[in-house]
Amino acid sequence: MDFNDRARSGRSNQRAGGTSANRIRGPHSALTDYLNEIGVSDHFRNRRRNEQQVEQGVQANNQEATQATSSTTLTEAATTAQADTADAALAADLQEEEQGEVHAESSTAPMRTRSRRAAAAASSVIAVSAVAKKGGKKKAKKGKHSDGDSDFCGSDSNEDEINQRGGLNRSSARKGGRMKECEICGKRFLLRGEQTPDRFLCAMCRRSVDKTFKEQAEVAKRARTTTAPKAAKRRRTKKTEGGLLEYDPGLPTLQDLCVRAIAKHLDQVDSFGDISTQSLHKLCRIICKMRLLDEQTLRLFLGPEKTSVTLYDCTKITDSGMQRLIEQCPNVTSLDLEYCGRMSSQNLLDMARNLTQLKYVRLDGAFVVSDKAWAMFFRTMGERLQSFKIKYTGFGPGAMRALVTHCTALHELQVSECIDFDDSCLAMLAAPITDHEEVQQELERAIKLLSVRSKKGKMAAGGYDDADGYMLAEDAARSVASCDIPSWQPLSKLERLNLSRPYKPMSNQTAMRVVETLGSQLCVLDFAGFKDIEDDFLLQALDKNCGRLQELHLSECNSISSDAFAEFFARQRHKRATSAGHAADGKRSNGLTRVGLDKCYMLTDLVIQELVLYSGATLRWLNLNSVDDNLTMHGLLALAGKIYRPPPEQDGHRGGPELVDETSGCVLLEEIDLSWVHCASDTVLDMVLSKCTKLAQIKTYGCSDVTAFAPTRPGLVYIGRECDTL
Amino acid sequence: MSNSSETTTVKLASGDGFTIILDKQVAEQSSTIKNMLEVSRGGSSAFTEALTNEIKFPEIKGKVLEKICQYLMYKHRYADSVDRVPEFGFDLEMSLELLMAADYLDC
Repeated sequence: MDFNDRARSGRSNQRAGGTSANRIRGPHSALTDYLNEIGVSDHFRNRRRNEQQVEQGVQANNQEATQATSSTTLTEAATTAQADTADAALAADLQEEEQGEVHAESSTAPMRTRSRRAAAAASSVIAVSAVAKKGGKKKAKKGKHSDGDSDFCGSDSNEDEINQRGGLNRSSARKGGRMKECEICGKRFLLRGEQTPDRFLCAMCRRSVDKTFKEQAEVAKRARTTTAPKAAKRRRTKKTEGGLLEYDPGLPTLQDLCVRAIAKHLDQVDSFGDISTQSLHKLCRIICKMRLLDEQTLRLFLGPEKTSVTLYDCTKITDSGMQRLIEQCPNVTSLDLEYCGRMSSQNLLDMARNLTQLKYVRLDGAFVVSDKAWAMFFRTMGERLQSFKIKYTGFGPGAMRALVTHCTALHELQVSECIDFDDSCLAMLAAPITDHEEVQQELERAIKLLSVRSKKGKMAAGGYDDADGYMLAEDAARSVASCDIPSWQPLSKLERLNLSRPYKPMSNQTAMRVVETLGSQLCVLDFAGFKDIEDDFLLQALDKNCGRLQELHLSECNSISSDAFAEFFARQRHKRATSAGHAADGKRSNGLTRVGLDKCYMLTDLVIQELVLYSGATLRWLNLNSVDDNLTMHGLLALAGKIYRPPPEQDGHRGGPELVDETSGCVLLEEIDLSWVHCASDTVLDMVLSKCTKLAQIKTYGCSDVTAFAPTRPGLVYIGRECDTL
Repeated sequence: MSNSSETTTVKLASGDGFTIILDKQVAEQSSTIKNMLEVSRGGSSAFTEALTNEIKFPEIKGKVLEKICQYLMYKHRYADSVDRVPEFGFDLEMSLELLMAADYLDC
């Protein structure tokens, strides 16, 4: 231990420029002083001691002892004495690495600023023996060194250590180094290492400079940490119902203040008075956007004079809220509720019973309502229901059967993303072909017959509209004589059909049957996500039956080939041309107004060209999101009325596409989605915009060639353009 | 025209003919106003409002616009305040109009 003490005192009393040390210290030679002065110190040894202590945790003590006496290299010792444990091998590797490190460190020794106090204090017998072991390695490699080195080490005279130290010093001396004068104290020191430091400082001065730096950094850090709590203090956290913490970021917004004020004084505000319906609607939207619509605020949007109730966020409206809605708005004809996850089956049935004017229903996310409840709802609603749109709910075969049988006045139907909606449900839109289905539907028709008869007999119409009633009705229906049951009827008034994104696969055959049954009356058809429908659906069913079609959405219908799409549009065009003279075919559509072909990845230029040739004059809305695999800019230029075709093959090679025809393009186009269509570029859009004078919105997510220089004009909005978002 | 973008105030005009001159920094706390006054907007040319530093709000009444300017000042004054922040008061009668204007101005 006295070595450490002495070394430290030596360092602290470095004789610089003739200043002599006042402190008492032990005997030491001129060489020690010299070495100290040029910055060669013992820090690496202390450091290694620390490392050895860590290492010692891995190695057994007795093994250590045998190693210390051995003069073989460390790796040999490791392989012979410790080969039995995997840990030991790892330790040997570690040691080798460390020794390499020691070499490297010694070369930059003068510049080191590490505190050695702790390292010096930490020392034990085992650590010393471990050092000796390392020294052994050096000895084996380098052999004997001059006596002068032993002077430096003083009384801590371990021969191995001396040799090692000498070796290190030497190797670092061999590496060279420049004698420099310290910028602060003017003392000469040996600068080692390749790179030139920012300032030439001796070890002492470097350390003191670094220390002040560190202090400054700490002060700054402290300043930072002290200001942070201040900011945090101001942020009050408020606990929400769900137990989640919400941060209140500083001042509330003015909107927040207003809505809070309105909600707070709701008891004073009896109604919004002479506020226009439009404003009220807007207010509702704002309140819903802020998720503040609850039992309290709900009453502001209700009233006996209301014929239409639209609530965008019913998350907080419970059973009683729904009941209040039904009680306070008895004259409502249109009901549009989003996020109505709390609505129960009973709520739905109450709606059907008590809202006698109800015609249009849109419910989003009514998870709790069961299949049977839907069936009862349709039985009660009957022919009142004209428009029915649902999303994310338990709508299954029972509900669909009831809907098809009872709601014959339906002209709009949307059943989107319902887990229980399967191919058999789809099939109910067409005449039943299986016996089982026939029987089931007959039963449903018998129920209808019964309810009609009971109405005539002045019995309660809603006699069966609760959970038990469902079973009772079925039992009663079985007793009806089969001869009385009317035959199957299609939904003859249905014009808009949206069955997009089903969870279960829909077969091509069933889809064709449905289109064959209803096709002639449909204006809107959305079969998005029907991945199994094929070419013959388009070319046989749709082409022959859907003459009135104005909107067609076939997103993600990847089983339909591009050729079939092109053929379909071409046929439609020819049909329109031939039927132009016939007055009888007056209901025929002039062309499609809205077309969704997103995620039909394989579509070719020809499809777009045929689409434009068929409905270029009528198209207002077009979605080509992700139609990228085969589409080129020549296909997109069809939107500007330029029809390019590849020239006939000549001498085995083809030239570039040639302009063969020019039409007026999509003159009415208002919105287009070209996201992920990589051939969309500034130049293409320039040409498209020159023809599509009404274009107001272009979606260009992931179109890297649509840049900040894309053509602009008043009223045109780019959405998702990279230069706007990145 | 070009030097007007360097001015530090902006003129806000209400639908019923009142004008309020407000510090630009204060007014730009409303992101709608900020977007309107943005001179370089990702390549596309700036709005006329950015060049003239005058914005007309034909749908907002003078009284409401005044209250909004008061709120913007209030927010500017107290946004970084650590001490107790006084409440921002307004008449309940105008809260509906104020709400709709605030929604439009996004503040």
